[in-house]
Amino acid sequence: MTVVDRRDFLRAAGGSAAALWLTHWTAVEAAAQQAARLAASGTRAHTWDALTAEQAAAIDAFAARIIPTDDLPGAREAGAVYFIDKAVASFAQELRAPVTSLAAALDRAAGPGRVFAALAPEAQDTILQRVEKDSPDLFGAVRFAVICGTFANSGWGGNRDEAGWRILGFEHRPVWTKPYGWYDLPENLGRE
Amino acid sequence: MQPRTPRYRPTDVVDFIVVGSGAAGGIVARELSRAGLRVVVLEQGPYRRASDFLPHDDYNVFIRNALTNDSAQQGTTFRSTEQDEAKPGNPVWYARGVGGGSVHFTGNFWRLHPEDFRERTLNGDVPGAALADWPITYDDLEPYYTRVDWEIGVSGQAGADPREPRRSRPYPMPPLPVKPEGLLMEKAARKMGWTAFPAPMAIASQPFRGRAPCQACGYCLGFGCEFDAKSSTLVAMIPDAERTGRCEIRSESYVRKVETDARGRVTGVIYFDRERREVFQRARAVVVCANGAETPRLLLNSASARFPQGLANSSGLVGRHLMYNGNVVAGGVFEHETNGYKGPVVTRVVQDPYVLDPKLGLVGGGGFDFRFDSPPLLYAIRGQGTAMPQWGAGFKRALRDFPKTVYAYGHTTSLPVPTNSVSLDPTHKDAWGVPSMRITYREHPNDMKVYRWFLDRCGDLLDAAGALRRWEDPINDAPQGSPHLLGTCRMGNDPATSVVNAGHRAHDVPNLFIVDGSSMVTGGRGQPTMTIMALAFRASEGMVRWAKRAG
Ligand SMILES: Cc1cc2nc3c(=O)[nH]c(=O)nc-3n(C[C@H](O)[C@H](O)[C@H](O)COP(=O)(O)OP(=O)(O)OC[C@H]3O[C@@H](n4cnc5c(N)ncnc54)[C@H](O)[C@@H]3O)c2cc1C
Repeated sequence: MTVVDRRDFLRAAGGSAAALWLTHWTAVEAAAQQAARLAASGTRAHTWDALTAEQAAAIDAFAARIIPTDDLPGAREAGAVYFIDKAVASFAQELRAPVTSLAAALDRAAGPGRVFAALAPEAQDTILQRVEKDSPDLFGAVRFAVICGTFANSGWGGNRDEAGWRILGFEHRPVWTKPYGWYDLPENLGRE
Repeated sequence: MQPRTPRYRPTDVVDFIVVGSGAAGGIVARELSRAGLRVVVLEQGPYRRASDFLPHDDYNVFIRNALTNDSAQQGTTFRSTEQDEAKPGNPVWYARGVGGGSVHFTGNFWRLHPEDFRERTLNGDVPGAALADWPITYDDLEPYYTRVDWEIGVSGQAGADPREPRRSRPYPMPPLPVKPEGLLMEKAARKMGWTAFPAPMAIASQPFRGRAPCQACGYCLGFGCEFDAKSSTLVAMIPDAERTGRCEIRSESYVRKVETDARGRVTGVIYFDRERREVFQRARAVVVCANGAETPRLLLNSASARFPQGLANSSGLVGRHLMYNGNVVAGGVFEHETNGYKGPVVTRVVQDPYVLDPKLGLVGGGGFDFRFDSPPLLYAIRGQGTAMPQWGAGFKRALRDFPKTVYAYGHTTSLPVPTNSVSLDPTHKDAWGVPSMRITYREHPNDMKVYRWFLDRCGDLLDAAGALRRWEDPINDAPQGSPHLLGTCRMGNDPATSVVNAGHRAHDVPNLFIVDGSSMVTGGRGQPTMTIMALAFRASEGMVRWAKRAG
């Protein structure tokens, strides 16, 4: 939001309410900057908090099949695996067991001397179908973690560069004004 | 400027303890303290300010229960009938913190209609349900609905609802700006011969009593408002209470027992402070406002030699007649962007089937709204219900429908069934060692048919609005995570068939009052909080009179 918008808002909101809102605005901005810093802190040479490099590779490949990349980013670009690593190490340790057993199961299914991450996407999908059928709880738990890692705020470790939100066509702003969408554009009002 | 608030000592005999600071408790605290009484509010959750509601974080709010009850820690259990063994579950959903559910709720603010107070007279005896008339009428409550409008802050348009019950004053604020979903609902309603009208909402549409209006940030259902635009008791009532200098808000104070003496009078309450130390706070009277689930649990946990069945429970009805309200959901994808993630959740509602056509042979009725209430993470989890592919290219395609998705919600009655209840779990205890809440709930067969009828109409509305494709969420017999918790200490004139009298005083205990969702005799059509607040204003007047009389 530009400074001009802000002034407009203050005029619209009027006296004391505006002053009150200004204090909140500082908090809005601080939160946005914090999120940006966190998003920028990701680096390629990553040291994992909880996963081994092999587990991370398997989970990342799994994530990339749950939400594949096309003209829009997928769970891989969103860095879902970074979220999962952080979650397992700190704020959602109950994920450790399902994540490590799924990683092991995927590599086992890839066959002797091979790893899941190196298979072609079609072969990976065949394995996913089998795991989904044979171990629905395991599959579901890690699928859920991939979704959280793709769409939750980047402060939790995933959704890098708001990749997940771009899939949805979602934009985060502290304040919106009308028109919100197509149907409330002035030229479309009254169309049946 | 922060007002000076008193710090009472536990040995001080204050005039009133208010247990719970939510929709009802926040109002009671303000009204009693403004009348000159000394009040301690004990709230189990923390005291948050507007800036604590940032950043917007759906993972924290919905997955980590940052603002709400945590069933695992509380050991909550569920069973569908009294014959079943209860298992750990997550049957109820409520906010913990100063302001309670009024902080994170959606703000749909429907008054009851006159017929809601007379369901027994209008429908007769319905087998399997304990329908009863309220001891008060719509006209008795109307002045207090108006106080809620003007003191809490409600946006809406008088005269727009063709079925609108009598109101003595217009709304203090115009409706919130209509969203694309609202425009689609208007179109659908026209085609079906119904009326879509501006939703009455507990959200400021203009600067109101020093608060900013809604900024359309889109994080409403489940979130606190960083602009103080949502009309919670946290922003509309608690500051007034503190300003009196007579009301202490003691947060992170979890009440486990209401104490009584040999004469059967309340003497105070025992609570755990934030260090989990037990404290006994004295008072001349106690008001329990802990919501339709925690209020009966606290009363049952307050059993004593004199009250072996639990406090205020000579009728055996404490915890019974739990009502959730029916809530059915269909979703649809439209041709163009609605971008429902901008703005408040609801801007238009339809209430034509407020009372179902008698030809259907069903008891009840309700209303609809068109809305969007799925921030990014929730949309990815359940945005298209069971219609959503679970992974791969199909899942990805579905995710892209996010800005074009609209939900049609049906909100309905649910009958008061005696066996649907809050009771104490015989084995599970919460993290403080207090017996856990056990929910027993099975929908009345009439209600399952009512829900089906409403869900079918949700689909019709989406079709009439022009949805390209649509789906429906399955109707669950007893949904999990229910946000409406009503009827468990019903009010009435007869001590044998009700827990509190028309003034919200316990029939059995002269200095114990109970007002919150538990007071409701029947559940209305699905947006109970406006009524809970009106009851709280009305009950407070009676408590003040009582306190002055008692000296
Ligand atoms: C996500 C969501 C959306 C909702 N949207 C709407 C809506 O749009 N419209 C509507 O009408 N309703 C809505 N509701 C329901 C609304 O929140 C409740 O009806 C309302 O808050 C109930 O008011 P109450 O006073 O009965 O209890 P509450 O507001 O729940 O207040 C009870 C308070 O007591 C505290 N407490 C409980 N036990 C103890 C104890 N032992 N010791 C100390 N403190 C205790 C709790 O922490 C809580 O703060 C929604 C609910 C949810 C969860």
